[in-house]
Amino acid sequence: MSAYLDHAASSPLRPEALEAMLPWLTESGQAHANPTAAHRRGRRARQALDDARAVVAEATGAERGEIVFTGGGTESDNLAVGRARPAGAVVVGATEHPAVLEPAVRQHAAVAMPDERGVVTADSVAHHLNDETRLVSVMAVNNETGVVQPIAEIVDVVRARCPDALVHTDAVQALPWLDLSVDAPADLVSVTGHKLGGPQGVGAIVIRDAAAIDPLLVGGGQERDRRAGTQNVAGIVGFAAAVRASLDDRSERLARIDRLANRLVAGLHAQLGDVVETVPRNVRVPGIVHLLIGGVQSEPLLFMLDGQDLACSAASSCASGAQGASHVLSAMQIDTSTCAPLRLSLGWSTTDDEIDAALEIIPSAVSSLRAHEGARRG
Amino acid sequence: MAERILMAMSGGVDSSVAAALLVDQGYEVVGVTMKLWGGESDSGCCSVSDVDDARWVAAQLDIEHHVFNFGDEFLTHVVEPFVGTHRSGGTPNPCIECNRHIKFDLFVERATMLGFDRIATGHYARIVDRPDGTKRLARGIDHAKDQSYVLHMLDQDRLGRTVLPVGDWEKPALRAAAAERGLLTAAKPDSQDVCFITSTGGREAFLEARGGLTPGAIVDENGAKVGTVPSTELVTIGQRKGLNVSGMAEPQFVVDVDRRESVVTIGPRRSLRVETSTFVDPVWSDAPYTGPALVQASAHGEALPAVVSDGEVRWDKPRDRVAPGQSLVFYAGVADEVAEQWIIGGAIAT
Repeated sequence: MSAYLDHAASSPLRPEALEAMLPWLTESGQAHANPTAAHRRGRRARQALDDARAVVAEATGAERGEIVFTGGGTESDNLAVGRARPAGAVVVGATEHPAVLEPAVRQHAAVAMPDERGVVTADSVAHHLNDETRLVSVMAVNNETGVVQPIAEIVDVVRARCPDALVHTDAVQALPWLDLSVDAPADLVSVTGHKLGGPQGVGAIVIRDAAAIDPLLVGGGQERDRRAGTQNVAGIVGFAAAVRASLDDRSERLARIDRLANRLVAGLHAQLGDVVETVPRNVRVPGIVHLLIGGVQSEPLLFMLDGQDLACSAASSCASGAQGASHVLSAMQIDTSTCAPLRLSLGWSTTDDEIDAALEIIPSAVSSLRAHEGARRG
Repeated sequence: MAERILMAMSGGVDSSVAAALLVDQGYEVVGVTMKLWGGESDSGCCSVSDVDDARWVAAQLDIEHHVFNFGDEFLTHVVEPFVGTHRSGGTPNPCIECNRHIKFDLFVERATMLGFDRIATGHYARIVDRPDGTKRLARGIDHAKDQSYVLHMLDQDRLGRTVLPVGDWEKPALRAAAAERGLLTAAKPDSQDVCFITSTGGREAFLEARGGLTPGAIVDENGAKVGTVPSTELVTIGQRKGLNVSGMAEPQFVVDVDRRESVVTIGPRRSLRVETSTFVDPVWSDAPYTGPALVQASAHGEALPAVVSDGEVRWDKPRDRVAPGQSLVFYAGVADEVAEQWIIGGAIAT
């Protein structure tokens, strides 16, 4: 009995992605070609990149030429928040991923606070806009709580108040769940493959017409001079295959995962008592369930769950592997001193069996920890 | 079913070998590195590279490895009191407070919570069974490495829930065993001093950054000013070096530190001599004790014969004053037979 409920950290590789990648890894004639090479094998690799670019463009509502492949979400975020030009005052949401927050802090960004649901509203952003504002960055879906941010409204507010400012959205967690052409109409959009079944280390950034980027990597002219270096052809092909599969099964998958997530939450409610959903169901994506479980601490809870091979997350993990406090919950003014934050994230491969396993493993771990805590306090 | 042991692995050679010994002995061992200090550090017990080393060794031993973040508690129970004791003119021992509050309290509690039978650490000390049915903490076989002093707070409950696998090892043999097994940490240097103090900045930079340092006057025993010190927080009773006073008839030592007035009093060695030392907050390995004991006043000091009574140690022979904040640790046994000495209890000197 085991369950992998950590898709928001990294989703297992989809078979479609593996199948698409294999020829580029195993057939020497293709694998050894550089997509910039003039010979037919090089042209084949280049064609594969073009095909992949078309898929990512479709998924993000962009033109092919607006897609730049990167080494993943962090690189895309760093490009948008550190390297968008012209530079100027920056506004970011308080609950952004560190890949956005850290470069934003270095630019002394203004920070827009979320409401109690974790939503960074257009009003909250508007409050910080001024004539100097050149970049606004708010993530489309929060990686810890799964809350959906009103990007279209934020874009409208920024366009009205600061026509010269660019809007960036980190859509890394949104790509598996939302239609980015509708829900993320920003000038700069970060996406990555491994949250929906693509390989790790491959992502993209959408750079729309109005936006200019001072590249991080130069020398070679790839990706139209916006990201130098030979492309990871197999990885990009796998990324695109996962995106294609994700687009094709979206409506079926969303309905199935919504049902599984609801069953999980209802089952935990019934067995645990003192457990609350951190954000309301109507403002989060189906696959990210964030809970506050009373009477336990998250570090021992994760230890116990790991012992039963239930993979999930609490807050953020730092480089050492230690659990750190969550800046997201802190911005939402949630006190975690008497409860354990727990993120259970579902994805394309989640099954009813895994939900059954979670509904056995989690209540058993929680009651064991609560019993110890009760005994200790006498 | 094998006894389950939660092994504290700092990323150093001692706990690496301790873990290996437990695996050999057939225990079910899980390794844990405690993340204690997030600030600047030499490779003490808290850095990412030490966590990586511990993780690597755990993989070599084929045991699970986890990280526990006790950073907030370390700040509250170890770092802040360290600063506070310095501010009040005392000489803190943060390793003892870490053992008291973190390793042998939070960590033991966490282990119990997670269903482990006992915890283990790589300290050089031995847990021995006495004929009276009690467990006692005895000195490590390697006297130069003995760490019983910093573990004196372990009571019967804690002693019963702890394993110290390297207490009957000599350090050179332990390093050889680590090398023979090919453990990553075999040649890693021993950690020096306090894990949250860097070798470049020292205590001075650490305290400076946490509320500043106070210069003060140096006076002789008649109250006449004979010099200045840049930071009274860093002056310790008994200190001789770094005072920069010359022209005295005999060597001068710090005999008193008045932090309120920022005055350091110096005098000749004989002025340091005391017949008694007072203490607070005693802890006992079993029952409270009064009577003769060998009393050690610093981590590597000599245990001297004395009589322990309520709040006071009366030394058999006068000795130098013990700096307030240091731990007085009471041993039973014979002065010459160091390896046979075991701990009765300990307290904080005032």
